[in-house]
Amino acid sequence: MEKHKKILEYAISSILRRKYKNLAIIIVFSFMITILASILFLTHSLKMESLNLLLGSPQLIVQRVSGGRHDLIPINYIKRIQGIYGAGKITPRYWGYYYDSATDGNYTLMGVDKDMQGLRLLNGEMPSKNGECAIGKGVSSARFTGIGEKVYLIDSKEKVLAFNVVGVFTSISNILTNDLILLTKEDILGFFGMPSDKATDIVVEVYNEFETPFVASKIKEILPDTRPIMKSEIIRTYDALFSWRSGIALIMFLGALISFLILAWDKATGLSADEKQDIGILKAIGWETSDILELKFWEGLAISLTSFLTGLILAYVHVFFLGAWLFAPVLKGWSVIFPSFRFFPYINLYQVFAVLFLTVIPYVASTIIPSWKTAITDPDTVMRG
Amino acid sequence: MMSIVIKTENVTKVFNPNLPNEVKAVTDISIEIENGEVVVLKGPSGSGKTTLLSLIGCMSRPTEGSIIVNGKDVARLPERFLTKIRQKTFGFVFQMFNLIKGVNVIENVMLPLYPTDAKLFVIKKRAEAILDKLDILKKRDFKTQSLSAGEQQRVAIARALINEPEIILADEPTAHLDTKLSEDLIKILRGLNEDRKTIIIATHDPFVYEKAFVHRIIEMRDGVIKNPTPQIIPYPENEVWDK
Repeated sequence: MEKHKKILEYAISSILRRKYKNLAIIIVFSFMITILASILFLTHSLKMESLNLLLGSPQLIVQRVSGGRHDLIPINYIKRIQGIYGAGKITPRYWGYYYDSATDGNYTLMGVDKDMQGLRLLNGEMPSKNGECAIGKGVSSARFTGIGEKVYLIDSKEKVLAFNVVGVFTSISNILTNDLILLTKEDILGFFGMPSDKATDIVVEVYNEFETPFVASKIKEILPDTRPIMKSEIIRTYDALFSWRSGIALIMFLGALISFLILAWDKATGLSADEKQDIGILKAIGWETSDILELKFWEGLAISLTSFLTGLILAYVHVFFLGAWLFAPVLKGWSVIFPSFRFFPYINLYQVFAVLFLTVIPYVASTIIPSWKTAITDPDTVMRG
Repeated sequence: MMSIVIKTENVTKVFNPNLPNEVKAVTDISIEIENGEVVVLKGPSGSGKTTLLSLIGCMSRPTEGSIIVNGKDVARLPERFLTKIRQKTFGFVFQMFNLIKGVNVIENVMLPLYPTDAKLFVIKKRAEAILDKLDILKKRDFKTQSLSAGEQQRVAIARALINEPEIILADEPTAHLDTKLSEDLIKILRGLNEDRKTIIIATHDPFVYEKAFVHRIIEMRDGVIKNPTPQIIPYPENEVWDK
């Protein structure tokens, strides 16, 4: 134990002796880990956000398709769906996107539904009267407004309407509520100029989730102009989409990663004359090959772990505090989410270990192998250069 | 009767064998060194004395022949055994001092005992005692590169002594020292010999090999022993030393 403690102490003093070289390695190494971990954190966070969002969403959504385009769905379709075995409660939804030129943002306007799941208010209450609204944290920030104040929106007849803010939604990271403006059903119909016998889509509860595909196919059979969308399909699409985007980002990053590994390998395999000389001296004065390897192991581990932790912390700050400004455009892609929102810090330990194994272990190995080659050579030969 | 601590039998060392740059550094060397002897390997540059010193000190292996250290043939031993022998038997004083740059004096001296189970404070005490004996303790926290050549040489000697070796191997120990510092070094080596250490010095400096404390001179040239019957100098006879 005493021996290992002394070798560890000497390893740290060796790192400090070559502080500028090692600092340069740590900076470059940390940067690479920051980028790699950022991509993984961001992808995972987006997936989890989507998953959380969809977990609270209904098993089945039915949209009407007209000429291949999403169209308003007649309310009377509900009666026909009710007859399908396995279908539970059926609810029409009233919603639409709203482009706000004042803030250059896209908001989601939705008619209030007292059965809405997964929505929690930070402050205030849900709109219960016409002229009231509850808004997401993002809308609140973008519009500099809050409870007791007003939100001005231009409706489908180009009329400016003022809505009293009665509630603000919780969680700034929540994709669902961040850009949301919740109005009463009547206000939504009037705002978008929707006929009262039509809704944006219809939500179908299925008692047994395993029967969802069956119910979906039945709906399609009875109502051929509809498109039933199952929750599992959406989850799969999101997962594939973010994995694909993450893959694109990783491929972009791969070139840099490979360059770094080649550099690290070259640096580590090509021990400097001084480092070789030091190994020769240590061997000559009685250090065993295993002692040299232990020394180099501690050196490599200290440098790579420092870089790993630094990279990880920087990635955490980058993704969860700075909104992943470096990669967000790539990973969010077309799903332009305005106003900007902060990611909820979901961390996948498996990914953290993956980064650890991809970075720390190759570096330690690339440090030990050349040292081992030098250490097994006669000290006389090493010191002669 | 003195015991033989080092014995070489027909030792040959070839560098880069079977390559265009093959060099036969030493050829067919057979010598015996007794416990407590001071032996000088004398010869010009390239005569093979440093190679022979390395072979004796288990820092390289002979191409042919055997090297017996304290009755054990070390020529074919695995590396880990050689390391143990280097650690327990030999103390090296190199021509270029070979101190670790950027490390302070005391840590350089303590290094040979790092891969042992000795407590750090015990090693430190021992290192301080040796540095004090060599009159360099006041520089204990200095980085070695800031020391003069004479001071670096003392640190190198202190490092060679930390593991209490029975044999000191010194390669051109006065090469970078002026007369005064060389004189000091001779005093140190002589003191070590009085403590019954066996000392083998590779040098071509008459200032060293003409000193009375040297028992024997083995003259080398072109990798072979030039004087077939090594010169024996009785000790102490021709000089009185101030301690």
